Amino acid sequence: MGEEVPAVSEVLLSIEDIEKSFSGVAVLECVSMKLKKGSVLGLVGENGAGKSTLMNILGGIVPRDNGSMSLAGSEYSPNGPIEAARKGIVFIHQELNLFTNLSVAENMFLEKYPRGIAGGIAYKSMYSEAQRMLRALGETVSPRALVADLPMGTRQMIEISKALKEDAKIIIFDEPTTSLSTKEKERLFAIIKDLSSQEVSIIYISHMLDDVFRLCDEIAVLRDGRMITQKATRDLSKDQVISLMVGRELSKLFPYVEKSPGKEVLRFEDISQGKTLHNIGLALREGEIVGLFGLMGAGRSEFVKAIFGVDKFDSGEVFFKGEKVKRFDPSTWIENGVALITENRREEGLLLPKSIKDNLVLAHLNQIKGPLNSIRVRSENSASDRVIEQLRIRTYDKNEQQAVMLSGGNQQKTVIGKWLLTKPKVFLLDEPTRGIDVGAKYELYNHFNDLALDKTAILFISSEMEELMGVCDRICVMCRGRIAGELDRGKFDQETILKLAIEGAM
Amino acid sequence: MKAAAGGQDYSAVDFFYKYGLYMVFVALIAVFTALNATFISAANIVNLLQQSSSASIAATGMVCVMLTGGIDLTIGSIIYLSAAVVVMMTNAGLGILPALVVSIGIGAAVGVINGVMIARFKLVPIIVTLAMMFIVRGLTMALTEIKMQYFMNPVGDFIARYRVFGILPVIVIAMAVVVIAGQLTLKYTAFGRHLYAIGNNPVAARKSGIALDLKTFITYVISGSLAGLAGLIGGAQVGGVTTTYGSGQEFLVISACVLGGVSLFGGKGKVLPGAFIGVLIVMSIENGLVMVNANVYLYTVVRGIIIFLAVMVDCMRNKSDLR
Repeated sequence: MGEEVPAVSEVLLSIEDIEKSFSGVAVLECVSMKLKKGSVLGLVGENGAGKSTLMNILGGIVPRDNGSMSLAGSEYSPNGPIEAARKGIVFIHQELNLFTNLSVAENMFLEKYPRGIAGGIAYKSMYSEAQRMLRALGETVSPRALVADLPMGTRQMIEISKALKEDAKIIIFDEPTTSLSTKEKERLFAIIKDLSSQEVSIIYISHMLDDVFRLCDEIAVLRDGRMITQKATRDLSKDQVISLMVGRELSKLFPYVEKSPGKEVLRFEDISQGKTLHNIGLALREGEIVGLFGLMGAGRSEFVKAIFGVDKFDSGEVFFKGEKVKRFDPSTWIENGVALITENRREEGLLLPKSIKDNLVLAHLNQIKGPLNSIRVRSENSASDRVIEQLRIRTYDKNEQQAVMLSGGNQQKTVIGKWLLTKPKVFLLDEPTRGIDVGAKYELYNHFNDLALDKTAILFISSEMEELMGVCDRICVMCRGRIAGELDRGKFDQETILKLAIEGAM
Repeated sequence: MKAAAGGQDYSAVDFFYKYGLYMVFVALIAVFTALNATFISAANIVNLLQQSSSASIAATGMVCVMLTGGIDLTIGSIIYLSAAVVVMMTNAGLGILPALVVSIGIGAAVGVINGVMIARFKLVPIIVTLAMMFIVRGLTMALTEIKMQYFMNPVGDFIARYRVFGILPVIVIAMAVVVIAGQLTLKYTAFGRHLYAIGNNPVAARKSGIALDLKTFITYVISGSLAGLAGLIGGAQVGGVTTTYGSGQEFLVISACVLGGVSLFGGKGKVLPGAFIGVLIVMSIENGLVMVNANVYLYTVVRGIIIFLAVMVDCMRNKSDLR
């Protein structure tokens, strides 16, 4: 894409020496960045590097402490997201800002509804206008549809057409692809390219470096609140970017250690559930990391949720340490040392408004209680300190900082830390590294390895084939609710795995 | 084990959620008519609408509050205060229009206090309005010296009995105006749509630049004002106020709203037909129980059951949304 950039591009936005700190902790230090008209700038960095803060300053959501910004040559300091939008800067958040109880068109025109008879909302013209705008993006959804009924990809298109309605000059995408299917992702990329050819500038934040390299004209790397570099994509390599992000050379992306699996702890036989799961058989041994791969909708999450007792299944048997399991509910599993980390960590794994300490010790309370079931504050503190240090959770105050204030990677570490304290025998991990950066991922892999060496059995569900190939001893591939095949480490091969996942057979 | 295979059943459940309200309403009418044929007579229907006026007006305000995810427990006490003040002032010679202004103004004033506490100082709605419920009732008791107050002037009589063209009671017209205006506001103004947005996702609403605090504040003022009006109308119908007047009215109105599909979790519901049908259902149950000469103590039990069922259905409905 580098070739498509005009030789002399005018700078649309320039950010200079931005500083910002929260409760005395510097989050951004002297950050400068330039965005050219019609170019796609990839912003990468580890979790907590300050990407979100920088973009929130740009989008007018938080004020800056120091520094200056200029937009199209004139001073720019928005006092809120509305003013930012009026000046043409629109932020499309990772958690989309749509209202599921309103229709597509009502969402698009939320800030300014077209007026009709007696000043009331003119639904008819609003619907036709919305339809016209969606069609322009190649989106066929009805503007009358309720957002709650729509898939994530469509919701994103609604956000984009909303941004275009505001005559956006700069659109910021924050991890736009995490909840999109491959097809939806391709459509998004096509639209982003189209936008940039119409002179709209894009800032694209993502942990998916492959996407960033494919899509962006330039890449800017943030690390620990400082801008490390901003260069044309063609002058950078993926390895370079990774080491710039992490600040150290990663010898390998995926640490793998040789393990000696022990006896079988968990075995599933013929698990079936309606139309989603068919005769799934799977076994986990002590000290083994087993990968479960599958494309979107293959039934991976449904499978773990069913066996963990979150949902129900119709038939099949489960054996835990050789004994047939009769009760399927999360609390029984947890008592027996089986932990599940779901893919929706924000919704299902954390008490967001509670402190980090409270979250960490939540599943561990039985072990640290004193007389009359009171909680021993000292053991609570020592237990949480241990995990914070072990997982290197970045927090300025574990008692005060709310889990909601942590960056994505640190939230994930907190969820994992919560279960680490219970010393699980079996760990079911559903997309544990989604949306977190390379450095944090590497640390997590190491922790999984340590757990496995300590005789924990791990079922690792992921849609990133590379990481499964990197850390697992065995990979099971799911396709349309069935186990399509199982491969041992020596036989890992991208093509074979993908073929199994797509076609269900070799 | 069957719940997972519920894909097929969902449409039936969906159907119930959508039309269950009307099914229940029609079933009720059928039952009471079977028990006493005069239930369906024109006179009784007008009577039912009259009885529903006060609650429907209060419910319109309650819907606004509930859409944002809030709740207003003060309305029963506002109804008491407004009725008591209006009785005393009209007995002292106040005319009908000033009485209208006073009743609405009193409600608005209480609403302003609720709104400031909730929107400005971020206190929990249920606690604020619960406290205000006691404060307002206590003040009114002091004001009336815990005596019954009767309308001894033509104002109460006019409100209670005047019929436009000799057919339509003026209070039914007032109710129609409020309910229709309420629904139009919710559907056709940015303010209305924003209430839905706030209830659905307050964080996103704020990020979208919706003046969340101001709008939340306004809903409590609306709810208070309409409760004030409801007090005037209700008081006139009864002919005066007793010390327990309006007590428990907030729960009747809330349960009617929830029954009519207004969610306790915010973001969902309509004044028309939803909450209005909810009020009619609750009132026709009460009206029906009177007509079939049911035991007086049964009323309270039935009210309790209605609240329970309404909330249960609301929770089920929300669960299915979170699929």
